[in-house]
Amino acid sequence: MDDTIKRLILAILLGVACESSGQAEEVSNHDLPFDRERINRYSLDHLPRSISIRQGADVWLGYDLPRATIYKVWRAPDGEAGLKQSGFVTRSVGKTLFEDKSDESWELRRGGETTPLSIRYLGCSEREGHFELRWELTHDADVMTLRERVPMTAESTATREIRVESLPTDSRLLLPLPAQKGWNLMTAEGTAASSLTDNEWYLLTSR
Amino acid sequence: MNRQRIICCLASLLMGCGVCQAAEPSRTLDLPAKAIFSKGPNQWNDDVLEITRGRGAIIGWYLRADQEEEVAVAVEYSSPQPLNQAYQLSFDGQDRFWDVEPTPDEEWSQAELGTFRMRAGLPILVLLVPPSGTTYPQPVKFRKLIVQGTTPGNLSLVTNLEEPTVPDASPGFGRKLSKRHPALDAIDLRGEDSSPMRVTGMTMRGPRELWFTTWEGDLFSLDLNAVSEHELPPFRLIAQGLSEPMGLTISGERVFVTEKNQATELIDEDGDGKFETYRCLSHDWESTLDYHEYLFGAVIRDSKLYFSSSVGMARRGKDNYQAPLRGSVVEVDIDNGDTEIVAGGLRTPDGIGLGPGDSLLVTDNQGEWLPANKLIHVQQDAFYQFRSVPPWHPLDRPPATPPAVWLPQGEIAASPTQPITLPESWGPFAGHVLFGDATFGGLQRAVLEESEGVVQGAVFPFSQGFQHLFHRFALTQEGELYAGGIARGNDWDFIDRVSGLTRIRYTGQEVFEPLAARVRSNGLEIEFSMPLAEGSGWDPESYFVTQWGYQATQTYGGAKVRYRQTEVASATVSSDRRKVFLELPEMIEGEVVHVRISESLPSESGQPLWAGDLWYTVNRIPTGKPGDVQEPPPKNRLPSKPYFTFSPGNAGRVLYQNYCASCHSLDGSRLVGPTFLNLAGSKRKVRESETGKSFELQADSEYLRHSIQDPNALLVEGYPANLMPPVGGILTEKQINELVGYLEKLSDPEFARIEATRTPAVLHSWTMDDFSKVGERVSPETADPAAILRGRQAFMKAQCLQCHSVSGYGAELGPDLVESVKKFQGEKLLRHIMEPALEIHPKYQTSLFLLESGKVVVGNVMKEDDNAIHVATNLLTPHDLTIIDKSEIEDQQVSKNSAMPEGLLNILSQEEVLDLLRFLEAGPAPIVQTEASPTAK
Repeated sequence: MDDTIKRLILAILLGVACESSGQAEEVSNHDLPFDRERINRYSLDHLPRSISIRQGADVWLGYDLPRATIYKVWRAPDGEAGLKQSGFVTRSVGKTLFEDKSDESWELRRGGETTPLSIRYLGCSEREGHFELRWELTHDADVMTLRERVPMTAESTATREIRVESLPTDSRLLLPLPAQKGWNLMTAEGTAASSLTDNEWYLLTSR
Repeated sequence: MNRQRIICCLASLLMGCGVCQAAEPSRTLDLPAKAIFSKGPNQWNDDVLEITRGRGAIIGWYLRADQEEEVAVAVEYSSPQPLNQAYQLSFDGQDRFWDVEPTPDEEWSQAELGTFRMRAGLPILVLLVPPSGTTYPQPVKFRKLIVQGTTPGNLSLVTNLEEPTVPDASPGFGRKLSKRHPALDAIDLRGEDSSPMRVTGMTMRGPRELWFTTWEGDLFSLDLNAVSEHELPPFRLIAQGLSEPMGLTISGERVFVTEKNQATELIDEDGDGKFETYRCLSHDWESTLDYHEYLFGAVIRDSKLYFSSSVGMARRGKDNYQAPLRGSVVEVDIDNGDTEIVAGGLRTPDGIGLGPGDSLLVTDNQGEWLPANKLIHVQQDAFYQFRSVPPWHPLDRPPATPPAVWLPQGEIAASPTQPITLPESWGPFAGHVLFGDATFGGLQRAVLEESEGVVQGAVFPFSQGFQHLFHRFALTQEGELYAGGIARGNDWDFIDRVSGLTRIRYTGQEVFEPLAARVRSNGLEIEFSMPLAEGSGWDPESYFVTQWGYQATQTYGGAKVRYRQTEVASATVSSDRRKVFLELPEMIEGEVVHVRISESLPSESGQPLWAGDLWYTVNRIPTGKPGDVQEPPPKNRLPSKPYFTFSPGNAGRVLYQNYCASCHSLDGSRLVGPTFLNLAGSKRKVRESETGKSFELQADSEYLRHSIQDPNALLVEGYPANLMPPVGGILTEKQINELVGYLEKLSDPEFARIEATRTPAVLHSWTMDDFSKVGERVSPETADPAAILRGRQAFMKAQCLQCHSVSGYGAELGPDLVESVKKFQGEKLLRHIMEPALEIHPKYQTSLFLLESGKVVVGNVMKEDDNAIHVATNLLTPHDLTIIDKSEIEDQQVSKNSAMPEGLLNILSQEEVLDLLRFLEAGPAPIVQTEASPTAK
């Protein structure tokens, strides 16, 4: 039924073009979380599993969910959309501010040894004023939770907050290499940091 | 006397004198290429078959063994190159894969393909199957298969396998039903003036609240207490931003959705009625950007979430790669997300549900590795035969587990969807399994039984006559069935149907129909919903029974194997006259038995039969459980007219209606494909897709046959490649002959006129004079929403999306219509639709290039630089460009004809044409994600 399904989908997509009308809907799109104008959970560029978040008016942050890392930050062209949709795939449109197409990932540093981590995406939430992503990072018996918060509005371009929970004693969590190079990591108090060493929130701003 | 005759005489003389023995019968049987029962699209060179193409090629033989034995099979071939995919040898359903080793200097070689168990007595089908969808620049040359047995004279080639001639058909009796079941009451909850609602998941939340997801990624709630027959109920949007949700279920207070590539739990953490958290419950399998990778359905059983996943389609013609674990039934623990693969080998399993005894049922769609659609009773670790290249699936291994019920393509299913088990409130249908169909439409009913531990059963036509093509279902505690539809929009038969929601109630009205079928050691017992008239049902002649097997291959679909009429030795009616036992001495395991009950079979009450077809899948015949065989009573009622009639051409008509009518008219109007009126015998200008050469030919029977078997080989001018599905892979040789015969008869104008009245297509041949009052462009603000929605339906009906896109969605054979409407409105826009050659944008002009080498390239110029021209020869794959060196061009011409045919609006009424214009002018809104609200335009 491959051709049938393909045609079915074409027909389905056509209907998206039609204005929603008719029977009442008590809650508008904008009142509910996951409004596609702000949050898009379709595939982004080459990434089947991704999520795109609009911060402020025109800056978009795209995530590589299996790697638990930001893949791209871009600014939409003036007055235009930052995402172009084709079926379930969206394409980032605009000026690239940061991009990480590498395979680099999170690592755990303990006692001079650096070990890679298994990553499992846990989900996301849209709450008052920010969007949150969660992953589980695992090494042997060590299971950590990585949280990332994206303020829906930000004073400086592309601002993020991250926090690791259940970090093993005497350990540090190292950001993926491209993130280390492309972002400023700071503690909540504003002190520059190179890795996550405790369970507090850290701030990331693009360089 | 020549030398050979002398030798013969000598041999005869010596044998007669007992000097030498006659040659012993051979243990070996050659299966020569010349003896295959279908030639497919490939070329012949004397007795050598030169195979360049997979899809559509049918290379098969029937052979027979007098006694069971083990045989070894070898192939005699020559191949100048290695292939990137393996050939399949399907021997009576047993598979071997052959990696074709290249043979140096075009020498002939022999390759051992494996050993097989040969059944005795039965014609066995042997298929050599090239990789599906692949075309090779140099052919694999093939002369014969060699089957080596151990018993002299045991093996023989069967060349005269006769297929049955089927009786005349009517709705419910050899043809799809045309009306709603008399015991069903239905109301549509989405009217014509509403926005489309493509339902992808459904579940009940409490006794009177229905929740459903849509293709657009929304989750709605419907208060069922608000449903009435007089007005449309309000729908409440409660979540959004889901990614192609295809399944929805609730367990207690927990809500689960299967999305494009993950199973998700929707969580309202603070109890404010909004789901602010989308928890990823599981995504423990790879995903790609293939559009056809879906997760289908959602079922909870014992704190486990079950759903199915489809395979990708994008690479099947290239290397047949699949992301690992695609095509599975998946089990996820809803508490910790632990994920297990229950079963594999599925293709497009767009429906999962709980069957009798809380068993898992899955439907699957016909295609590669599925010769027919399936209703599967899921077994742990079972493999259901869709195969890919390794590493793909840990359960990819022979032998495959058969479905509980085969659903023959075009006869009872085409794209089956969610199965749902009916509750007690459905009276005689309690425990039966209903499922919808996204193409065939309606509701089909399956009744399962267990035979010596193996689940199998029968499928019955149940009801058509609904507005929607049902995709998902939910039952209330009272037994109301809510059915969500998903429109397809390209099938003529369903053109007036739309997506949406329907409430169906079982009224309890008694209807005379076959209710169930049960296998016995010696035949099939059919249970009816009410008693037969006294003395009726005893005549074996009142049951037309056929049977066949299926053999899955890597090419699309599959014909019936050993399709034959079966002897009904006797028919015995039970004492309460509610059951008839058909004694079927030829019934064997692994085949489908189709029973067609005569329309004239009377009930005691005088009610006529609602439907007379049933298909029973015989996986296991029980031993020691015979049906009761009795002599007919003296009062055996004789029919007043024949049970079945066999009109010439009827079989061809049914095949046309099942497989062709959606795209080919009988009255001269153009639908998706050329009309069949006066097709046979006419001169056709065609383009050979492989060479690009155009030439004229006569549409004789050979051409018609070739066009069915390989639709893309010779394309009629003005029609692109890949529009026609490979129905040749579904039809048997005899069916193709019947269809060709029917097409030939359509050259008789009177016959064609009568036939066309059965399937009217053209309403009026419109001209611009009929639309003198087409005004200015309608603005989105002033447009009547109802007219726009009617126009959208007209847009679907006119099949515009076959060639055009809307804001980048749809086919790219013609201009994007949003862009077109910017340039043309009102009368000008209509004229461009009715007279497509008026002005052709250079991008859509077809150019023909004659190269110095003699090769002809036909296509659309996509790019040109100083040295080369880049041509798309198939706009369905616009990125596959043929690069022509300008220095090689001998001649170049631009066609003045538009690829868009005239008369596309002739299937619409005048009002529909005007609504179509309004739809185009007032929208269609861009589908692209914009900063503005998607509903603002």
